[in-house]
Amino acid sequence: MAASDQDMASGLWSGADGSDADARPQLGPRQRWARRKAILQQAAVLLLVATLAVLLVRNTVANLQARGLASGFDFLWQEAGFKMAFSLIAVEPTSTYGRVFLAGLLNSLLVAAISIVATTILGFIIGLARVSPSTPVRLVARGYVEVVRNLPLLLHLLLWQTVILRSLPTVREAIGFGDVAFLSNRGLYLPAPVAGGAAAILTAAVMAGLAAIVVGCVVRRRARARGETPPRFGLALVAGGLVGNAAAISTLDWQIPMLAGFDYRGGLKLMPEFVSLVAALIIYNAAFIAEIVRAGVQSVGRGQKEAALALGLSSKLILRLVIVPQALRVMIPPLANQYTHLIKASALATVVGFPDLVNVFLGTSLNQTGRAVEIVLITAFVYLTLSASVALATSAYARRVKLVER
Amino acid sequence: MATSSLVRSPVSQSPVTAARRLLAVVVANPFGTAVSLGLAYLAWTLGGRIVDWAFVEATWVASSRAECSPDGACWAFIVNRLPQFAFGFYPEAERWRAWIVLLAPPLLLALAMAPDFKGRRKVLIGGFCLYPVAAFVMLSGGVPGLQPVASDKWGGLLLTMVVGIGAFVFSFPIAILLALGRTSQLPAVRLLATGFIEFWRGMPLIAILFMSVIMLPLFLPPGVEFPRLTLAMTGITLYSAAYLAEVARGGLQAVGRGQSEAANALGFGFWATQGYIIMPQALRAVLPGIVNSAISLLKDTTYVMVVGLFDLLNIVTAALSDPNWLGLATEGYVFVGLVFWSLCFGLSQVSARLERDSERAHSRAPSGERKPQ
Amino acid sequence: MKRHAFWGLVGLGILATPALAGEGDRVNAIKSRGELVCGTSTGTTIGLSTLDASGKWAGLEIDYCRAVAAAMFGDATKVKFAPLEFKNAFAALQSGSVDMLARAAAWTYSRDTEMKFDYAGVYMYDGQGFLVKKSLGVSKLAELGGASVCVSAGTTSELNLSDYFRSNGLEYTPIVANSREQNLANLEAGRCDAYTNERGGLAASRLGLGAPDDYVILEEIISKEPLGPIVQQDDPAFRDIASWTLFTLIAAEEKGITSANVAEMAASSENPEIQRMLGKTGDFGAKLGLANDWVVKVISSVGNYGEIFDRNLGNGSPVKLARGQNELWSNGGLLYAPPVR
Repeated sequence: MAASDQDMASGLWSGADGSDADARPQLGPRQRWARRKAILQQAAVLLLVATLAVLLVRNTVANLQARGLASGFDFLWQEAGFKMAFSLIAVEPTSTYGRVFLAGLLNSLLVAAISIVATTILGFIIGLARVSPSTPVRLVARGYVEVVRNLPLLLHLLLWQTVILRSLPTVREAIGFGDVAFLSNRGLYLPAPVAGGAAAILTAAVMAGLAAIVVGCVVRRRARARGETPPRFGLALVAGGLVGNAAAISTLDWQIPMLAGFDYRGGLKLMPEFVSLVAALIIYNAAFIAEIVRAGVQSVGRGQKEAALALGLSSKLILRLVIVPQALRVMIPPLANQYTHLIKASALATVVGFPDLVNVFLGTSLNQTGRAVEIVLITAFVYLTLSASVALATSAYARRVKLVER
Repeated sequence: MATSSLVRSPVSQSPVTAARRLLAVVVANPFGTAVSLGLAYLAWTLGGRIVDWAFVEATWVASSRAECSPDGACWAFIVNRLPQFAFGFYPEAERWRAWIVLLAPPLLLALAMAPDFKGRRKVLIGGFCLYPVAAFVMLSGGVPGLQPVASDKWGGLLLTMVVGIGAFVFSFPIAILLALGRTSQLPAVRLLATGFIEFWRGMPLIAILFMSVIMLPLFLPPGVEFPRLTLAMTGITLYSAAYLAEVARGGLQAVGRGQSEAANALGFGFWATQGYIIMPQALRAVLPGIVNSAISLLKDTTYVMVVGLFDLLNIVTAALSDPNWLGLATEGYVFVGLVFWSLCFGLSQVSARLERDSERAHSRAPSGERKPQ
Repeated sequence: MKRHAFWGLVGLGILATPALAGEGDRVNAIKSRGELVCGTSTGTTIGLSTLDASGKWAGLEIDYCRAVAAAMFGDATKVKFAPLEFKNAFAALQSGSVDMLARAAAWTYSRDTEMKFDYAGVYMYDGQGFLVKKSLGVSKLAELGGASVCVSAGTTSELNLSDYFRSNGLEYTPIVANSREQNLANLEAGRCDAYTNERGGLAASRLGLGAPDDYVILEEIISKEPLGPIVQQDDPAFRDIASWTLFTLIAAEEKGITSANVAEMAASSENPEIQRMLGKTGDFGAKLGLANDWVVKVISSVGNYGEIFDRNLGNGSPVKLARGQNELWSNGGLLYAPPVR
């Protein structure tokens, strides 16, 4: 390229703008040449990439044909024939690959959602401890961060798997918690609610209660943000919702896990593979989130804290009203990165044998059907969509926080 | 701990004053005191047991699990397998080559970090560019004087370092090109670079490795083949390049527009401007970020386990199923953890020092151009 | 820009080579590479494929791969082993990143047809069984209702397990792991009640447990598991080499040719079939595109089938598995090689 980088750019942009058609005749020969060159260069790059893509596709098609392999997405409607150890939707051996895909995706999302919430909470606690005025608290937090983040995530995972498998008792000697919950190396057994006949009504009631709480909270917050006294009915909504929900939940029957034959039956069962995966993800990512929180808090000017102190705010209120809201703005982009990282890292489920998307779809289903290209494409699409949604969600949130700031 | 405030207090104080000060500390900071006391209790109970297990009751020399003391760590397992954990299946007669490859980076770094060493920059840059090639030739051989050793014989810590350092060095130029592409004024280039970066950043590394090692041959013409190690390294390199490109882009944004305008005015071309003016400043600004990427990359090398390469973690995991040494997962993983921890912690100290240095440099000459990152 | 163009051209050069495959391509690719790439287990399938602490591979499947290498190159060391988890194995063969699989994979209809593989034969007749703890007090499969069963991901065992329990109206929870070592660790820790796999493999795996005598293999067999080498369908020439390497290993046992006497037999045998096989008369090797004495190279480096079995699974090994179905047809087994003619 020549020395006229800036000229080229300005030429290009004024051209692209379209609004200054009058300006066009004023372009000197140098600018015109620069513009033409820019277009030529881009065309060359595009051509190169397009050729590469065409050749790759051609190779793949030729290879598939040579091997006589079928292609197409019809396998999604074929019977998969295997059972999943854990799924949110029912998956039978007669279910299709499409359903297996969906169940795997839901499992991946479940792992990601639980881990993100828990690791954020733990990360905030440790991050705030990192900047605590108390030396021992700071030391413990620093120790946690330095130990955890310098070990590979895969090692964390294998370690947790081994710990759970070897140090928890077998199912026959499970640790009981008041005879309603049990812990063994087959998993954690919890009582599960059974709604009985009125399930739909009950669900509706709980939903209504939740809605009342949310509306009440929003009303109160809006009022407070405008500096007005929150209206009474906001509080009433929240209280009513809480009471209603409590009442609805208290009518539930609880199914208690019982040892029958080889295993506990009934109730809710958390697989050890799930627990070790989620534990590793939470503990590992919390160390990074703690560092993000620390950097965010430290980015808030010292004057802010001093001013708040001068106004007579308590240190708890200073943290909640002054420091965290300002730190949050700085923290959002790195937090988004960390969440994306966590979602991708949940694919390590395949190492411990938890049936996530990569394990049952990119692994088992691919091995059974041989539709490698299709399955790789679908998997890539899913993960790219997830990453993009995290990016979109955080940028939307960042915009909101900015507006509030103003 | 709480005692630190005592230690810092003047020695000449009488015990009564010291006790009063301690009381003051406790009253002023009840939570911190509770944490300190809890810590001390934990250290007393757990620490003793850990020391017992790891040192007092530990067995260092034995030829099988049965000979180890059941109450302590069976380090004999690690000791017996140490050569394998370090070099994998690299032939014994040729291990001196692996030693050189493993020891060269710390020695070069130590040399470069020595105070008042004139050729620091030359050693660092030269080492950075030449090391992967030299190490590759040294390990794979096939040149006069060095017997060829196939890459499937490399393993253990050696493989971890080869993958980690190799992928980092190779991802560097790609990352710079990508960062330039993403900040380019040509829309097509910008779009392609952005798409490329976001694709590799959006995919799980496990899926990338699976695609590059197991699936890539499907996209290549028949007869074009690469060893598994090369394929795995290609995947990790591109993944790391996408992350590094974002770090480099942060650096590019930190360099003021005036710099490239001035370079233009002096008649510098695009590549000359980037190479001599922009990049050196940009990369220096984000040096801690680059080191942090290197740390992540080193930890991520463990993922090669899923495609059947025997890196340090995988070779130890595989050794755990040796019938003579069953049930030693704790010892194995503690060993792997210690190795990774020392490497990563060492690197993070380098990063922290660089950060401090650059802060000091900036506080001396504040620059209005630098945007907050 | 020039640099872009340069690398672009290099890339194009690599990619633009004609993408066509056909007869002889796989053989040519292997020959030009100078070694065979064999997809194997992750190295813990005792008796079939194991990787020891010094990096040496051993086992029946490994010896078979070495035999193919000896047939093609006259040198049993010209083979590279690629350890693969089962759930990645078929994808690796399809993409061509390995030349063949010798990975305890059963011959089934859908693998042969839908996945477009070819089975070059059967080197081990096996059936799916269950390994359980003695202390569980289970003696029949019907008593395993409601149990957690360990199984490897993507295997026929996983599908057979599902079929068997479903058709017998039994409940079960699959505990799916990627590798044999993880399955065994799960079984030992009590994470699952039973581990299901090929019985031969189970007998061998039992030895890898801390206390093998605490475990028992149930009598019942729920499936047929003919294990054999798998190749792609695109090159019949390579398939023939793979098949006939296996057949000659079996035929050599029939004819009493061993690694000890093969040189002597090649020089002095009067039997016309042995003379043809060992390349003394005719152009036996040329018909496969191999050296005329390839069988001599194969037998002298790995021995005949009987020797291979004995060394890895039979009485010469700690597994002490009976030949059973894997006996020659003339001794009441299923091993039968087509005539070498």
